[in-house]
Amino acid sequence: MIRFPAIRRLAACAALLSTAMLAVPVQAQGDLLVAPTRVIINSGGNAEVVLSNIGDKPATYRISLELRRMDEDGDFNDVEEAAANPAERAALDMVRFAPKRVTLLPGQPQAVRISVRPPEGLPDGEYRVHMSFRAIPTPAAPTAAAPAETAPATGVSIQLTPIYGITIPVFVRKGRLEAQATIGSARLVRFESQSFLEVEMGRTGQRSVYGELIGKGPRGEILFSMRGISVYPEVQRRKVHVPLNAEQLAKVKGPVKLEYRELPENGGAMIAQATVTVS
Amino acid sequence: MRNSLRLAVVGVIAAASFATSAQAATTATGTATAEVLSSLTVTAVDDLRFGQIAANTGGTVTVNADLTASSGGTLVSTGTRGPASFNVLGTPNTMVVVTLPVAPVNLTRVTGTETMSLGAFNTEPNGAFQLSGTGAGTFTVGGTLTVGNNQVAGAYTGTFSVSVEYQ
Repeated sequence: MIRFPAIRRLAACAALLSTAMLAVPVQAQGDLLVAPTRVIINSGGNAEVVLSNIGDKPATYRISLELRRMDEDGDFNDVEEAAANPAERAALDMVRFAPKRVTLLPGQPQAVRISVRPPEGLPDGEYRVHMSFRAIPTPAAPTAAAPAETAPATGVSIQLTPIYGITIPVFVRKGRLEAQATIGSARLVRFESQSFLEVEMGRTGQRSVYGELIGKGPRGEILFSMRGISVYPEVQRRKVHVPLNAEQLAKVKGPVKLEYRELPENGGAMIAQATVTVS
Repeated sequence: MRNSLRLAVVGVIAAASFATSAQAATTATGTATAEVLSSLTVTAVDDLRFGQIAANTGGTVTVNADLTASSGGTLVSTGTRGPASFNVLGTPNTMVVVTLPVAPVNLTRVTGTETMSLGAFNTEPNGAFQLSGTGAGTFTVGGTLTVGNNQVAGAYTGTFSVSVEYQ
């Protein structure tokens, strides 16, 4: 531990103060809306996604394709392009889109056109990329934040700009693809102060499954409903964590009927169901 | 027909209230089937703040997504420290996942070439989380800044990527 002499400490404090005053707050810029949030293209075809600037300043957005793999907790892991497997490589190669970069005024929407041209001889299957929409930060005025080189500054100040955005999955399905899902066991788990019902889900077949997980009590009353649960083809099983409040926690103890259904707007058909005993 | 529908949808997206306007648009155009688009928005609320750091000695400053902050080594850090926070608005009761950089990112000194690294990114809630019954959600992002011995004083800037996706 280096002990500061009193004078140096004072100088350090002064330097901290000066950098504090010079630090420029980063303005929130690049807020965005994307719709729809899933795109499925059967064989070849086109689709359109709308990107809108919902911030109060003009912003430039970059649109790109990324690869993700789901893990057994349902989280996504980034995959570098160099590490792509053949199916991921094929997906990157056949999905075309425009524009790749666009500057939008506040409130201004822009349609992004997606087209898919599967190459000859592409094996049947589900191919997926994740389309990313991210604001490009405008360079901060560097001179404003820079302390004069001559100042006896010993302080360090940090200005971090998040490049934040939305990604949506784009699925290309070729051929007649089947998939089945199963619901396995369920148990109560606790992370920090929050209780969850951990549900094991399984999947087989050539494509992903997607829907809503509904928990019902003995009289058919809905205890919880969780939308947007998918199981991607790279996993055969995953865990779903349903957050429970105190009232739900009391009610799920005992037999619970779990239903995995298509979303209501997609017809609401049953994909899988099981009655589990939660203890 | 397709054009007018698309225009209606674009109009909806420009409007602030998605659900209400969607219904209004459907009624106004009199279409029997409207194209229902689920949407997702992200807005930044707070930046990731590490305060000011006296740079005589090296060490680390950690600001966690769960609002705890700490410093390691012998460096002195003062000022406001807090995680970045973001608001999400989307389909009610739907799961969303936040993806963060896996590898550390570099911050570069303004007017210089010296760098510092920021890594160990973490989010709160940790992993996937569910949007509320009104479709709202908030998440925070923290990380650990590594300050070198005799790190050159000055202002350092850098960027890191955060993206939100329905599961």
